[in-house]
Amino acid sequence: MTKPALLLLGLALAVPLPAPAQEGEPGAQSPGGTIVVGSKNFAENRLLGEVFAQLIEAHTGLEVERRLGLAGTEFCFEALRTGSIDLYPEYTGTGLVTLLGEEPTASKFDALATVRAEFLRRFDLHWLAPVGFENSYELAIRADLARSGERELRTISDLVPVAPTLRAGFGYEFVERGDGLPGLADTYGLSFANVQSILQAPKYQAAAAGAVDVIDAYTTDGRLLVYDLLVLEDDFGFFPPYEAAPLVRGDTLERHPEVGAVLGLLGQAIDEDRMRALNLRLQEEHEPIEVVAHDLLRELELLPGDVEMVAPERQPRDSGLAAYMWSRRRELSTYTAEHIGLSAAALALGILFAVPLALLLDRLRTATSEAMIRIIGMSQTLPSLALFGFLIPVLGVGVVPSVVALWIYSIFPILRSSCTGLREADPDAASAATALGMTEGQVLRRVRLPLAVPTIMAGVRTAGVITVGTATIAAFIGAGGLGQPIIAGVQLVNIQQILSGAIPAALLALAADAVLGALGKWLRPRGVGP
Amino acid sequence: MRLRGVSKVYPGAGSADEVTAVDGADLEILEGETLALVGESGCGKSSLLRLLNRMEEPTAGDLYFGDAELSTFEPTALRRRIGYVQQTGGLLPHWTVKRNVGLVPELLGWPKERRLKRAEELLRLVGLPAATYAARYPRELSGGERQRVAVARALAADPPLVLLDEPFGALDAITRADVQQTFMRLRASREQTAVIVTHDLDEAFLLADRIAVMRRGRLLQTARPQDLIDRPADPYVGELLDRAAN
Repeated sequence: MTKPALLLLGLALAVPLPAPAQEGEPGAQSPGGTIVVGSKNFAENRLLGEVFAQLIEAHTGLEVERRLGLAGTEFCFEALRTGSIDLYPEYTGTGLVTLLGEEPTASKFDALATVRAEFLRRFDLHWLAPVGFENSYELAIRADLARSGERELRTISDLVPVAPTLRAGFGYEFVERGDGLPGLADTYGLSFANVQSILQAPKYQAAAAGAVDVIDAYTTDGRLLVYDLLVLEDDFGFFPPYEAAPLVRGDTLERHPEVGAVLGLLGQAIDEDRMRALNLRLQEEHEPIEVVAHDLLRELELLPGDVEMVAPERQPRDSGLAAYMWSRRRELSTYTAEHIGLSAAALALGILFAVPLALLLDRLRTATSEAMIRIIGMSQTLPSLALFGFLIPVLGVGVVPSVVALWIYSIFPILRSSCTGLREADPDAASAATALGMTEGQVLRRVRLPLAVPTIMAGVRTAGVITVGTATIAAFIGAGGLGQPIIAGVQLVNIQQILSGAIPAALLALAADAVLGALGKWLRPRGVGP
Repeated sequence: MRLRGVSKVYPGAGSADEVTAVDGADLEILEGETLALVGESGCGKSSLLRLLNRMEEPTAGDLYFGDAELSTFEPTALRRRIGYVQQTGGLLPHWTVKRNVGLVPELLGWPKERRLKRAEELLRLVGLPAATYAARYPRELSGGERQRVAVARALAADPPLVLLDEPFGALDAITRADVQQTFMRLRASREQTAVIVTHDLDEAFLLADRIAVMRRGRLLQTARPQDLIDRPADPYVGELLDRAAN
């Protein structure tokens, strides 16, 4: 078999690689027995998602696919609305203000009634029974600043006069949301010396280190128990009530009414104190979410006696990174396989698209070609989250939009190098071949394309390394990969967890570089190059 | 091959003016002769050569190949019947010497056996024993060896006409003399017509039966070397000859 034929075969094999990860694709498309559970990307929401998943697994015959840690409210809601997931834990206040765009209300009963009626009417989405706790926003200030000299701050109103001297560190959503900083600033006339956007988890460390003075906290955040912070009373009652509840698609409940019944078991089962303690286990003890979820369901006596979870091995605290990674080897090898699958599929599609496009542009050989390459080049500059923002309404969440996003990033390096390679491949040889009677097609196939291979492969190599490096973003939309432990680790401030994803990801990028380098060497025609 | 009133004008690109490379050329290339096109760089001699195998199309005038108008020949089929050697870089770097030599036979669909036999024969003729050279790649050859291969390639399918564009111009003096000798030996043994473009008048005198002198796109005189010396038709021709003599 010739080298090009072998290469094509390899590409063809690479494309279906991520097939295992595609099993149990979005629930709406697989009427069989699969429920896809999503969650947002912070500890409590992930935990609730895992609790829902385990409960459904224990009490129904349904398979559960987890897409936990989707990057934010919008991503979760879009994924649910478009049927990529069947349910996720949401908060009534967020539904009311952020998703419906309504005015905040002080009554949790009003809030629940409104979101129930409106979500059903507009989206055919159902709010099931709230699980019992409210998780509202709160403002917390470093205790040493709350009580310094004669000053004693108890309420947000007390904060107003001193706020202009203070630095705030707020969550990304909080800074933007109507029920966050903008509304709060309006209601109290509050303004800070400066406001920085920080992820939920590192905020506490930033406050402890004295880098920020005031942060937004969640009522149920376990870290309020450990860090020296004072929660300021919302004396104007600005923050709307945020009751946590499962938000489920109507067609899912129609197909599997048992899901509604089972999740109903959690109604009013978890109060604020319990939730805070659970969050603390995740945030400070770094216990695996699966274990904490399982323990909770046991305590609530919601698991049939015979259900034993296949839990990851419990990790003695403060053991080394190697031991941690060894204990998580099963997950990590799955993540690695997903990572390779996503990258290989995207790169293969990139090659199959960009090289023929380069041939086409080479044939046109006009100013349009150059303009087109530039336009495609701009795709490189799209931030990944913005790209997902465009893709999710069309493609949902999971493997497909991830591969598409990575594919888009892979096109430009391959296209650029292919065009350069074709243009600069020994013009003397090409013109002599023409002068001796080769047709244009023969010159392309027998002379210019083979001579362009080293340059094309250099672009493929670049694209490969970029793709493997970028594939960590797939975890933002539930496609797994090594971004999963990285993002989860960032949210839980678990350095070991971050490294357990980052180190293999870096090694994979190096391996991709080496493999594609060797492939380029193998494909390089004899008589050409170094 | 005959040319009547042939002109080639390149349209100006951007602010550049259009360029008249060949201006009303009348020329008859006689069967079996070696004709040298000489002149300074940019005088249009290469453009004229490239009109002969339709690598360029004339802006005006008529070309005949035998009795038929050149434009009636399909360009790729025509080029397979016309040998071509360019100054440098014409070999395909990713093909071995023997495959390079067998390029035109391959395009013509000769069976592999015959192609190889032919390649070996030609390599021997240009002084490169096949046993040593056939499997090499162009980059493993010296400049002189490469041009020998290029000449062998141009002759591989026994074309009635061979075009050579400064074929030995990039070689050092000693190598050039050597390859020129080989070329003359080859020429002596066959009936092919050859047109060779060169800026080197000595080379033209050495190799050519007739010499055509070009200046600024115009053909000033086409004559035997001795006639050129005895009866220069243009002051420039005399000037050129004087310069070469010095």
